[in-house]
Amino acid sequence: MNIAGILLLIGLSVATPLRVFAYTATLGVDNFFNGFLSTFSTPMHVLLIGALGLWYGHAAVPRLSYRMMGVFTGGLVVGLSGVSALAIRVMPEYVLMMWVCVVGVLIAWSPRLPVWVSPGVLFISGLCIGIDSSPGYVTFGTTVMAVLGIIAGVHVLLFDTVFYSRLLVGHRAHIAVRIIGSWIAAIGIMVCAYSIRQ
Amino acid sequence: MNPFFFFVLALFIVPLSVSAHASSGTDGGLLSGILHPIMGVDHAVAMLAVGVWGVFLGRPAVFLLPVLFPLVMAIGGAFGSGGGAIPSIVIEMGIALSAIIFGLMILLASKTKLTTAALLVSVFALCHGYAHGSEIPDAAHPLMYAIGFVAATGTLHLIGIFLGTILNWSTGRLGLRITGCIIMLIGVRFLLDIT
Repeated sequence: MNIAGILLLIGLSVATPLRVFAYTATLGVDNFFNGFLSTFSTPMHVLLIGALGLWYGHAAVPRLSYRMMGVFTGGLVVGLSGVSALAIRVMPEYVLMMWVCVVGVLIAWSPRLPVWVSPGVLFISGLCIGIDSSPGYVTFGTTVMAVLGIIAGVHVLLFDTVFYSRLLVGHRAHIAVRIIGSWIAAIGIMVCAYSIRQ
Repeated sequence: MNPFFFFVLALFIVPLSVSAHASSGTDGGLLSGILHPIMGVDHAVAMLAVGVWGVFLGRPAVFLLPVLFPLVMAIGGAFGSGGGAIPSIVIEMGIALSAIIFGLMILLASKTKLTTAALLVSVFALCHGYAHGSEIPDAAHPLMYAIGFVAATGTLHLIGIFLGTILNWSTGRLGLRITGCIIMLIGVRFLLDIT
């Protein structure tokens, strides 16, 4: 799709009247969009998913594996289930940022990791995002729609990042990715410290 | 007419009063973070110098130092934002000394060992980070502040590396050594101001 097409799509999305959702036959479908957009409107989630996509796409494993993505989805679902079943409402900000820092260090350091580490990183990342994505609704139908929206939004963002980071090939690109990884880790450390202080 | 000219002209006619509406929250946090390392000349020249010195040192230092600096700086920032007990004059002297030492290294075209360079950069990065961390505005959005701050710092390093590429020119080496001398003098000036 060219730039004009993308702009047209964005323009149409913005111009779509929100009231049309009132006429949908599926109850709570507007909550799907709330869940979908909540990922994109939470900067910490965007940062973590972006870092994860960069690491996964560039350094973690040689090729895209659906099993590995399944591990991430599993962590996400477990996290979201924890929110619903165990009434865990909020993950402290500094825990999320500590994990962002770990992923940033993995990108910057680019070590050769044991086989079990990559799924572990994906699972914990999914878990963190899941726990931190509390839908905040009580009725079953609306919560399910919101959770589906969250899962869809998280995967769209992750797949996009993995896709684009796989285009970064060559020595210079590898160095650029490592520098960005150090930036991500630094951001994680700073926000973590700031959160603990508060 | 060159479109770039219009772009630069447009920057000059932007009314500064609009900035009044972005002093807090997400926008304010990002803006504060970006401006913080750039507006402080002592910080800016030291970070540029890290990039230029990295070019003198060659690979892998040219890439390792910009990776190391933000990480260690953030650790310093964490201490600073946590209300560390180091007197500000010590930190300010460390920042001024960083400009002097890095400038001197460029002036002498020093090719120290990678470990020595990394150690020097780490020590001074702690000072810079501590100063920045202790000055995080309470009104700023912490994440956006950190993003702006780290990105601006990293960009200054990259500009330094870009400047360093004139090393390949016939008179580039001399030009860079003069730049190092200027950076060192700026550091001396700040040190004299402190003491």
